Amino acid sequence: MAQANAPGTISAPSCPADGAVKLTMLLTVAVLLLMMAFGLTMRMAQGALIQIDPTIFYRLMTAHGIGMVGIAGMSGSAIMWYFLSRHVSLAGWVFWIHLGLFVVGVVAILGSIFIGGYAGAWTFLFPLPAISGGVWDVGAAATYLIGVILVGVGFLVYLVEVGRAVIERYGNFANALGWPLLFSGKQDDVPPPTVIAAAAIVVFNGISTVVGAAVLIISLINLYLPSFTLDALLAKNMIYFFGHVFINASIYMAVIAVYEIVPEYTQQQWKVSRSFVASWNAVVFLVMAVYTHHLFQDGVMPAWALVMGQIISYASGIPLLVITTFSLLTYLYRSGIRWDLASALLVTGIFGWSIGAVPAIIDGMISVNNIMHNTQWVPGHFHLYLLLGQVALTLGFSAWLTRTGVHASLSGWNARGFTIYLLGGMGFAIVFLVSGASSIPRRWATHLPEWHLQDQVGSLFALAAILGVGIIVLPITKRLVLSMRG
Amino acid sequence: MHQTVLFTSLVLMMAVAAIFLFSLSRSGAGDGSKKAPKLGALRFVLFIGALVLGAAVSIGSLRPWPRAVAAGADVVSVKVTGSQWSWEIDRKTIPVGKPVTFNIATTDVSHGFAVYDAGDQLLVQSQAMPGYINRVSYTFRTAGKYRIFCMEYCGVAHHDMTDEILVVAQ
Amino acid sequence: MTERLAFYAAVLILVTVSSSPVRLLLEQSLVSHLLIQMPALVLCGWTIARRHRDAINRGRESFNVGGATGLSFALIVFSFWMLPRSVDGSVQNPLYEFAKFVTLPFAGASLALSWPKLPPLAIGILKCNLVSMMLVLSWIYTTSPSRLCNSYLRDEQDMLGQIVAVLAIGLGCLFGGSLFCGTTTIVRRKSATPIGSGGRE
Ligand code: HEM
Ligand SMILES: [Cu+2]
Repeated sequence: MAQANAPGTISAPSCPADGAVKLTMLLTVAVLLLMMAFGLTMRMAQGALIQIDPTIFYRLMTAHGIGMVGIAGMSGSAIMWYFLSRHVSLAGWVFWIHLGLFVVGVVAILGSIFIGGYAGAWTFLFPLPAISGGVWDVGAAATYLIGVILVGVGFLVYLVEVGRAVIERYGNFANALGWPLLFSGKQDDVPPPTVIAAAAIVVFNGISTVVGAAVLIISLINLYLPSFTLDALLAKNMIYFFGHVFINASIYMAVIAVYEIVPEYTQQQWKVSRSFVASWNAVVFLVMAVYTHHLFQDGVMPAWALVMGQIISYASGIPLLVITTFSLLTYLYRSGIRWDLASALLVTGIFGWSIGAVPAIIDGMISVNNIMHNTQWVPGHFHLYLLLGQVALTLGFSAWLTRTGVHASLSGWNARGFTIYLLGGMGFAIVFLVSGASSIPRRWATHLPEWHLQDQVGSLFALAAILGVGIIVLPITKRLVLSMRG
Repeated sequence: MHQTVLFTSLVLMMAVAAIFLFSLSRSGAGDGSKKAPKLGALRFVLFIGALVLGAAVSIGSLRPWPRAVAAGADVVSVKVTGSQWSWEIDRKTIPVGKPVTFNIATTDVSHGFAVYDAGDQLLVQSQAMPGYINRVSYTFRTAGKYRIFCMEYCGVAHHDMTDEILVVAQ
Repeated sequence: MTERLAFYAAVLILVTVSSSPVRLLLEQSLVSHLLIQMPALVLCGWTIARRHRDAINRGRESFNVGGATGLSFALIVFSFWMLPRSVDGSVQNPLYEFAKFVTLPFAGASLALSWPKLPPLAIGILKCNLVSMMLVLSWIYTTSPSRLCNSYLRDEQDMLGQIVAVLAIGLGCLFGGSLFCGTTTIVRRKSATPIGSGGRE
């Protein structure tokens, strides 16, 4: 695709569908800013700073949820594609299909929400899409589900291609996941971190996509044939399994940027140790088994599943904090790292993810969940590791991708934008946590007067975060466009 | 409880932040040896520590079972049914000091039944799921008005799905 | 040698399942009709065609590029026989029954001719899709408020649904497991990117 680079841009190692990756990053910037504007609108409405009809609020909420989750997945998949192509040979056209299906799916989703009036939240929890209380009709819900299915099919195609290429190079997934090193200490042809991560992601995200596709199609059939009912508990299990794995995968994919870019700064390769391999293999299991922490408030769930949810929630933090975070910090120690926008954002990404894990794990305790479930504690913790985690990693990757030959230290507008974004994002998420501790429910269009102050402070921080992101992405966008014009 | 949870979380988050700040403050080139310190032992200690802490916290926080449902002769049983967008509660006056078990159902989509005290603190909650009856127990300690909120998004009037119960001294 | 043996076994099985008593026996229950008779027909077609794959394909390559034509044909036939109406028809209408005994082996044969030509990407997608679809089918069988096939009882439909769910999970494990123990020849890339190659300095 667009091979030639704009003047002043260093040529990156060629990646099949390099143009599609850049296009994805442009799309990411646009969708991020739009969805953040939706988010700010919601937050201001909760704080009574503006008046919007609840129907509009819930449409914005649905769009914000699916838009952010979708773009996080899409940008993560672009990052993984970009770096994986350094190690295995991927067919570029597959990523274009993936991107194409994503765009078509997003158009369908936006249409279903803003034309059809669908406002059943991004989680399409059965049977809400079908039973709207007369607000949206079956067609709107169906369009939404079809949109999500299209995005899902795109991901399936993407994952299968990644799996195929990994097998072509490493023979099978046992090798790609580093089992020879893990179990018998074999040192030859150990896969690089990117390959191990990609193989793990293909396994768990592939399974989740298969389950997600099934429950989406079932929900779709149920819309038109309501007598074909679905067990609500089974549906909830399937939906949360799919949703949880998908959004987690978006972070795990983006972390590959750290494995590949940080070594350029520290002059030290990211080492594949036994504990690295063990932690990624553990993640495959943990990320799939942990979703039951979404069902603590369903007394009809078997108790063992809930106990498992709590223990796995805790255990999921160990590979993150003890392996990823710990390794990053030891690599940085005395590394003489040069701080520029890309390196600062990438470290911020791991930082946001790490601190976000704290309130997540705490809410993963049943006794805490009893009073925090579906309060704003939940958006509190996940905005930490999405807004400050996934998004920081994605922006860091984009900054690196569009780096100029000139030495760029973290100064001037970059530094200002970065600081505003970091402080705004932290404040925004922490206000959510405080609101959660004040028992303010999430997903409420209008708030009680005594909650307004918190909402208003939150809005202020949100505005700052958006401003910061805006400042950061302005030059990135310019260079992306230039390099694509080639 | 609410404030403890917030406080604990913020302290732990600050601890993580402090570790980041400490390492980053030492990210300069130093004496020229760019090698990362050999911290395998520290990592191992952290790992074992995390396991031990996890086991202790798990056992401590799961016993007694935090979703135990009270049953027996002196338990007050309340039937709650959610529908878009209101609650139907078959007994809205509840005695103080007695274990109450809410039996929660729904006629349409999922809802979330939650009891809030006069200070707007969430005391107890449970999902209402189509086709199932979820049970949750609570013993009220003080008399007064308690608000019922919906905690699971159930459509565009979700936030209006509120009600009240009265806890009275005997 | 084994291929020849399989070929004769397939012919023998095809003749057996087509013979009146076995045919009627297997069609007595929905489960054996859908999960034994129909797969047997497909499998026989596959095995018979496989032995003469090269001979059949010779000179016809342009007709089945990448296996697309054969795959499409097989998928259309399978979809048709997945419809409850068609299943009913085959029990009630001799013409349908005849069509079934002809098209399913042919579908199996065209799959055998096309499968080795399919790109690995297509095979992977097909496998994932198969598992998803079986889960959906299982749900349809078990939750349908009415009988889908008028020729069979509700109980059988439930049982079919449950078996299909088990099969879906089993197949999923099989496909997933096979990723871990494959012995594909490893293709190394010419140039591994050395560390820091994307950097400046
Ligand atoms: C400054 C930027 C952002 C603002 C102002 C914002 C605002 C909001 C608000 C107000 C809510 C609803 C809270 C409630 O339930 O009461 C929300 C929910 C959500 N946000 Fe954000 N957000 C931002 C960034 C992000 C990012 C970057 C992501 C992911 C990459 C994200 C993902 C989500 C998700 C998944 C939900 C849940 C939607 C639902 O409950 O259905 N947000 N956000
Ligand atoms: Cu509700």
